[in-house]
Amino acid sequence: MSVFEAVIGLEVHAQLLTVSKIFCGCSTSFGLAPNTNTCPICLGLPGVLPVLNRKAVDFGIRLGLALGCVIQERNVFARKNYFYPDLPKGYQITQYDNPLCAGGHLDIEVKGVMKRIGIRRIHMEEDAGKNIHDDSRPRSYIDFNRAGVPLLEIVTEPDITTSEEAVTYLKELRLVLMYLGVSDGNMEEGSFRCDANVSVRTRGSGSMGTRTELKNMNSFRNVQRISLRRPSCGTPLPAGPVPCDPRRKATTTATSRIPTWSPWSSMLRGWTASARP
Amino acid sequence: MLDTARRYRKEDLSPPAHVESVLARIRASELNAFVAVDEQGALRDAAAAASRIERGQEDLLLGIPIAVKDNICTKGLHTTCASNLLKNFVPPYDAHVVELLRNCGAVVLGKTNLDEFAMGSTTATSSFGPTKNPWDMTKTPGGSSGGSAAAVAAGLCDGALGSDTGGSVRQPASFCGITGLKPTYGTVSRYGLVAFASSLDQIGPMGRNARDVAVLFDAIRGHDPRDSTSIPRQYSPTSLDGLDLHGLRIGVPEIFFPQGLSREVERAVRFAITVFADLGAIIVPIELPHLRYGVAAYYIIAPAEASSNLARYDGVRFGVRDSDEEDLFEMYCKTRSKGFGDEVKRRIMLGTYALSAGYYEAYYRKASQVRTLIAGDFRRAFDRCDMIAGPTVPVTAFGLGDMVDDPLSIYLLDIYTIPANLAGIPALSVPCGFGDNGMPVGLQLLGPPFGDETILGAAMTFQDRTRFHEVRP
Repeated sequence: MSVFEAVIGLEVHAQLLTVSKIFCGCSTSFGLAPNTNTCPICLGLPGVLPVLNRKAVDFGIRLGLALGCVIQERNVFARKNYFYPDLPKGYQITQYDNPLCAGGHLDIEVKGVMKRIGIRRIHMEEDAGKNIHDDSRPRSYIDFNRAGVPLLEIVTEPDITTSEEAVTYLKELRLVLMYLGVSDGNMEEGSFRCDANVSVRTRGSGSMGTRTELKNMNSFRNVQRISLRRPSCGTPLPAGPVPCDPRRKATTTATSRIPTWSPWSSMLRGWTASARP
Repeated sequence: MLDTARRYRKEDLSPPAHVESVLARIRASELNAFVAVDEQGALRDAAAAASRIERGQEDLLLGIPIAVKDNICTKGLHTTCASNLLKNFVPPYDAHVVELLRNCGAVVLGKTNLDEFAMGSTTATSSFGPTKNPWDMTKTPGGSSGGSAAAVAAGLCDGALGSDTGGSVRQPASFCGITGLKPTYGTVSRYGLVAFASSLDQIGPMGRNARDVAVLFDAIRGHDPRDSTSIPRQYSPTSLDGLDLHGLRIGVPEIFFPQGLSREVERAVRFAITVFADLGAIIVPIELPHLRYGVAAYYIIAPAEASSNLARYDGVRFGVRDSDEEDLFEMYCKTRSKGFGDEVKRRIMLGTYALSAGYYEAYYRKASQVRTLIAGDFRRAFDRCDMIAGPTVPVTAFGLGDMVDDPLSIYLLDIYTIPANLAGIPALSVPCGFGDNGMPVGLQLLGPPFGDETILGAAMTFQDRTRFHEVRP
């Protein structure tokens, strides 16, 4: 047994099977011609306002009950501000202080042993559009069909210590979502996406190592692979926090409710202006 | 407006003839009140209204020429917010209020000038140049709904829509000698109003007298499911009989009459209050202890919300994109640097700072708490009185170029108008006299939530007794 162990927390984004988007009446159908499922609201034209889709809330509550969460009576939506071409309004409408669900769990079985994975929160938010880059010339295009599709973000406690547990949790959660009829769990179409927060520490140590966020893993195999490599990196370890794996790009998590453009702007350099829909 | 409606029925005036003469006045005007005039559309709608009147339809707004502030979306008609960034923007939809106006047969004449994105008190931050005050072409009409106010005062329309985030309907109404209402937050749908500060914005009617304003108000208010802050409530038409003022308690806070208030404004406003007393109202001294913090709280909250609301003007989907930069970041920078004027940039920077990590608690949260205290002041005050009276603005209209380099002094002029937006309560401005230089003075009436009809009724009764609203420039 390795002297190191991983501490893993997972954030799953699950697209909901609502007929229409979370803040407008546009269809959520996948695979249509670009920018056909759009309207002034999901394109963020001047003067429009969001109206919450009741069905999205119902679906969120359904999942919260299935995972034993407390359903919060008071829900608050917040704006996460950053500039990016696929984000029409310059902010994402999401939940921050008062999420829909808090404090649940999902029990998984790994190698015959049951383990309880804590659910920290489930909140509602809107998906962004999709940038499509033309490699033959310096041009990018944006498809806003996905902009405003309702998402649930399901965040675990850092209770996961192996890649097997991570994959088992994800498979189990996907089944729950599909069984409840709130999401189709289709990973190829991006209906079920996962970010992992991973840190490495000496086994048995109470403290946490330096956290690395691995974004948008769209297959169980990726989760299996990445998690396995973490605990074996860089021995021997210095005292204190474990440095990040330099081969993987760590992204900074937005700690502010309203992050200004500064942490994001550096990511934008080199991107090209997009054509209009 | 009501005069026009009556004359349409007496058949000594027809909508096409009236609209044609109004269009001619607009063409001859040098006020720069309009940024776009839809002559063809107006004449077409006037002809349609004429046939509806012939068929005996009673709607008071049939064939009435109305001007719309250029931050309210009009389908197929440019909506620029007086910004370079939006000078090519043609909305594919009508704002809720514009839909309602069209449905009742009103004629939308065109779009009126404003401070860029409604940020300002002079209409001078417009990228189309300043609007002039019809009472004195060297003076400002106020703002940000300065184009609408000037158009009403000069007879370039029968009524107009403005928007009021911190006084933008009432302050220009005061400077131009007209009547303007900032309704209770949530009574008029904001769908299609280009957002400045969403928790404060409210569309308001402007007219030559309180009855005209009431008719326009009845037409635009009501629940709209597309605006989640619009209140599901049934309204019956506002009475045009005026309010019996006997026994009505009018609160007068002494904090509204500080040392710095100009003498001419104080004289006119105090006189107006004695008129209300003569009409049977009881004048009650009241206190609003937290009002002094209103301007400070407003200039955190409004820029904070604006900085987020204006993020969508990035040159990606609509509006004017600056050149075809190879680099996205450069494109963002150039589009926004060139597209926005100084005042808008100032507020975006203020707001971004106030919301940034580590400052949110110290600024935005603190300002929101002050806002709650001010709303509490009003709630307690309205236990003791039915409405509150005071000045709309501490001064009369000033010179066009005055204070352009002194934004703080201009911000401080919003001292009387801002509290109603922070508390969400209705407030209106009615003409109540003239200053030493002949410029109009406005009296502000503030009511409790949903007291819109009460303050309008009181204004009607006041105007039945006075003639200030009948004097034309």
